Amino acid sequence: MLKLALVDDHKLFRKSLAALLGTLEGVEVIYESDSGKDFLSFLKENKDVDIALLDIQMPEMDGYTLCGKVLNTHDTIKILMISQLSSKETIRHVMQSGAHGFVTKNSEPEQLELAIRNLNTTGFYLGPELGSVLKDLMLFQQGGNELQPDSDFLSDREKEVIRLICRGKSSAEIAEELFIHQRTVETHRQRMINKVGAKNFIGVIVFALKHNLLDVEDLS
Amino acid sequence: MKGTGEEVVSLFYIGTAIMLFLAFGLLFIVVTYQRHFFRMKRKEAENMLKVSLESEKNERARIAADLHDGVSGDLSAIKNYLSVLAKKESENKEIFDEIREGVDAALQNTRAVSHNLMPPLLETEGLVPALKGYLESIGAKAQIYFEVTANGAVALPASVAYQLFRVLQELTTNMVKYGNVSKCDINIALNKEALTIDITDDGTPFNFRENLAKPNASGLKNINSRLHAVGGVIVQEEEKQVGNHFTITLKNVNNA
Amino acid sequence: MNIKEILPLIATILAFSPLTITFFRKTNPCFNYEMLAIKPYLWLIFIGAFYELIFTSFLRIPSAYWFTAYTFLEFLALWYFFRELLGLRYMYFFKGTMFIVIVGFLIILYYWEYNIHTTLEAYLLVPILLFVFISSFIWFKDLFNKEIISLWIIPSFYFISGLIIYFSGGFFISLLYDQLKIITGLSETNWLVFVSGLIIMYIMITIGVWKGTEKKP
Repeated sequence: MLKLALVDDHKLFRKSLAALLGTLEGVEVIYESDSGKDFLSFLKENKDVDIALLDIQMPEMDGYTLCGKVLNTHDTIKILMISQLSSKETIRHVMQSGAHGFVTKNSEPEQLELAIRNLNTTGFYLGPELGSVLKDLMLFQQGGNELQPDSDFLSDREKEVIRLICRGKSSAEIAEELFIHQRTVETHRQRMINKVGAKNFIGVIVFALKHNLLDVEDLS
Repeated sequence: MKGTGEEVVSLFYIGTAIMLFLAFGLLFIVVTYQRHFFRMKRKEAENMLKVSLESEKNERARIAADLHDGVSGDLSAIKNYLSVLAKKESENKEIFDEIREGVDAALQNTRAVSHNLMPPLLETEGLVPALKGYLESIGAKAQIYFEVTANGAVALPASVAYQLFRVLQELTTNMVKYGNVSKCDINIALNKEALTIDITDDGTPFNFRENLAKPNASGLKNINSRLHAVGGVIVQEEEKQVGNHFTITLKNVNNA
Repeated sequence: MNIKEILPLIATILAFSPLTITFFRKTNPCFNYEMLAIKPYLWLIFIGAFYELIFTSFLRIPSAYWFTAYTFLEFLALWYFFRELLGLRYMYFFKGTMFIVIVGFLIILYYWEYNIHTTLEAYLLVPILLFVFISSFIWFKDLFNKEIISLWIIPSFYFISGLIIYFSGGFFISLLYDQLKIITGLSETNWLVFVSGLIIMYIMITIGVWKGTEKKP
């Protein structure tokens, strides 16, 4: 049973989201509140939250700050940011905050379900909003000091792993396909994250796209 | 009035001198005071203009935020509940789909109105990104290709950026409505002395001054008021057969 | 010819210029009503100068009658000018002044004698002078309520300034002329003060007319 937490100051929306999530199979909403602080206190007692859905615009503590704090103490929790905003600035901020995925409040319920499933299997979710913005972000980011890495900065194996992850495969499935151990897959992931200096795997993807180690088409 | 010759003469000179003194004095006072007075009045009018534009901007921002935050969230909530219902009850699927479409439309409209009231990127990212975003969306609908270029970073005080955005919004709206424009270039250049915005389009020639004199010219008058409030001027380069070229100049932007 | 003769001549010639300008240039539409209002006065000084030149200088006809009549006509022309300029708000003021001056004029006609006619005219000048000053004052006051960018482009500014200077300068000389005539020699010199005032006024009026007109297309 996937354990979900919801933090959003818009009460009506939060309750509707909880109701919607409650209809999904294998998903249970164990916590919802309108305050980031309350959520943090909750987390001190209860450690087994799998996924946390955080609203960005909140009066007391905004989503980015909350995300950072949660990941500080509970880095196994997957964070899905929700917001009404979908500007490039917002998405860039989301990616920098270490969150694992992003959906808009206006998303279709199917997309929401996909996001949660993906977060669970691959550990991140790249929705259509991020996808279309990523391309612009690649051109937008002025990485002056970044040298163009060698084409073998990422090993072929690592590139393969990225591609399979982008297609939504879980670590177990990737291991099967590549005839390697699941643990090896996890290691590859972590190593890539470290190499690129990102906070999570999305950063790796952005990096790969930027330096043409990956094509946008590879992202389904 | 009979007196000695000398008395009369001195009376004459003194009298005339006094009269002339009074006359010139009056004129002098009038001339100097009038200029001062006029300057005060003008300053007052300018201040009032600035205040009213500022309050308009704040009002709109507030409405945009309320609209966006409150209403959007509520509509999304309705959508979610609809989805919950739809899963439980498959009989009324069509109705649910209709309702969902309606809610989507309402959401879109809310967003459009909110964005129109206060362009979202303006406060966070500045004039150029906000302009690009806005023109992309209206350009797509109106089938006009807008190209916004800026030489370097354009950092402006928020109120100035807001008024300039509105001015450009007005100009481009006119292009969309009447202009028969297919391509429009907007170039923004900021250097030490001034900010210059060049707007070139390839549509029907449009004489700014002539149209300003027409009765329905409130949009154009608005442009002038806003530019006046931020210390800018708009000049129309010489008319050609096809297309228009406007230049907006703001001096001393960095000291604003 | 010495200066005593040149100055009056200059004044007479200058008196022709304002009206002449209006023949060669058309009125600037902004100042239409002002130009219409000053027209009678322009005609008056033109005719006055004409009279001076022809009758007085050439034909040496005594000008005493003309001066008295001129004083009254001058008042009428200026009365018309200010009434047009200030509008209907001050009707009581205008009617009152007209009444006073007419009465004054009739009284003067009654006591008219050649020797003292200038002094009599000077007495009449008192209400006229007050009228000019008060009207100018009112005009300036009303000016502040309007949004005027610059005084220097308004023809009326020049007209009124000219009138004020002329009347202030000329008042005492008119008053004391007969006295000064008795004290010989001085009257003529002092009369030049009057003539200078006249010249200044004509110049101002000419500038005003110039500002109020524009080139004929």
